[in-house]
Amino acid sequence: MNAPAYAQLVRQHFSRPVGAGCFEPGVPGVVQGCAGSREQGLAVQFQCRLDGEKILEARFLAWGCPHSIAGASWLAERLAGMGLVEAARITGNEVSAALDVPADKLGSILILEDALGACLENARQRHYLNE
Amino acid sequence: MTDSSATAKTIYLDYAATTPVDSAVVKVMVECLGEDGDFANPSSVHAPGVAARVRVENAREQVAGLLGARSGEIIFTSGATEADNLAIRGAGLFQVHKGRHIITSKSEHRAVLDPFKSLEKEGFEVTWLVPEDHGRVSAEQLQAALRPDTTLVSLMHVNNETGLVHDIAALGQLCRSHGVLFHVDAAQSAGKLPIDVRAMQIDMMSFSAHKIYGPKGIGALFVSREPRCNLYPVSYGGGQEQGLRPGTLATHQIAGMGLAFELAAGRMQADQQRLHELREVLWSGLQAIGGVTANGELEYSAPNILNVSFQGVEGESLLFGLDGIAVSSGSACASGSREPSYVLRSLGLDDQAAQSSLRFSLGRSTSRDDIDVVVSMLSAQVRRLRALAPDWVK
Repeated sequence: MNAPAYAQLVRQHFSRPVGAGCFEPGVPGVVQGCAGSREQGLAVQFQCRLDGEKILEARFLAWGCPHSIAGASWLAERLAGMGLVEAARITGNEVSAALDVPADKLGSILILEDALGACLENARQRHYLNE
Repeated sequence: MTDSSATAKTIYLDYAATTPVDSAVVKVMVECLGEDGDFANPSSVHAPGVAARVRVENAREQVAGLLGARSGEIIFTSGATEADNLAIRGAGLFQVHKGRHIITSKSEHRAVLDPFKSLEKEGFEVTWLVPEDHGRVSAEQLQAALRPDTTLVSLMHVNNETGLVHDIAALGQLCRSHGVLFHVDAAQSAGKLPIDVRAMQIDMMSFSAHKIYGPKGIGALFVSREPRCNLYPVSYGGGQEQGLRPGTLATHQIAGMGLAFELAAGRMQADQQRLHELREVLWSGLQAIGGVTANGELEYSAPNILNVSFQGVEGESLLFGLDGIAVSSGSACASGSREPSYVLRSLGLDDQAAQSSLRFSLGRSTSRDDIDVVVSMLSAQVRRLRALAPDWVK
């Protein structure tokens, strides 16, 4: 009616996003990364709270389409409890496949991947990740 | 979030897209379909054919009655799009010996833009006006565009996206005084705003039935006989509709359109007063959210349409979050398109503002409760999406 069809998982994550918001300033072990812009159709910020190489919790802020918000939520849910090395292996393709993202939205999913990558790079720079 | 089918709980605020068929109209249409009804070909000379012809001519008078026209000036078509094509291509080509300069506006419906583009490809010179007067083309702006070789001007009465209303009487007077044919797309105004084709000096005017509680698939073109407006048909194959629109007349649709127009004439003033009041309530409620902008000044817009931009939210997510509410987005009318509306762009909105716009169009069944629910849901969604956005894009 109002919009093209969306997968049930998109509806679920959009209406009840996991990890929506950001950590209070001063919370220890928080790294973050950003990507995108309004002009690109998606602007997203990822934060991960770490204990060594382990992600305790992930949070996000996003301005974008339902697939993008749902994708960020899906990633935040997936990242919790994951190691940084394992997190670095997550690709936009996994997000797209999980949420049945249409081809014209794949650019937004790559921006999500970039934001996660920037977050993990921040962890690397702050020596949370021993390579 | 929406399913593919509307439910009983859906609040429908998309009456500018289409309307349900009035139950009285349905009844009249059914009377023209079955074996015991007036199903015969209206062109046949036998008694059943004559009965169908009476239905058609009665409808022609009903349509003409809403416009201050004569019944012989009404040509039935498949809808406003076909009427626009017939008017623009038919009149443009008929007058080619007088000139090849024609004028329209960039904020017209595609049903007008595309016939103009087709003539442009065939050697016509088109002036594409950008509305300058609060989103409207003024008489002064049109005057500056007229040339000795101008033969046709086409401007819509009410814009389908913004609701902005052209001063048709002033534009018509200008065209008539220059001997230029004036066509008006009235798909959004018929039955909603007063129309007098004589006083407004209109040569051709396009209509659709489904915008005012009539059936889809039927419309009409008013073609002035005094002064005489001549045009070529755009399709061939029979002599119906004075040779301008051949094909067997669809009695049931025509009868339905006629009654829809008659019903609209009888309740137009009361409907519009009520819808104007409801729109004020809606606009007041939306303003309380903060960061909202009306696209097109309400002072100059039809009382049933409100187009609003919501700052700091992405349009598709806003629309997706409005479960149970049927409205149109600021994207192009093609379903699923994320292209920003060219009409809103022509008002000076950037892509993001255009994409974060919603068009609310109110109708006969819209209630105060509907408006309250919509305001409440929108307020919650806008706040939620704004809270979710990173600071650097707010």
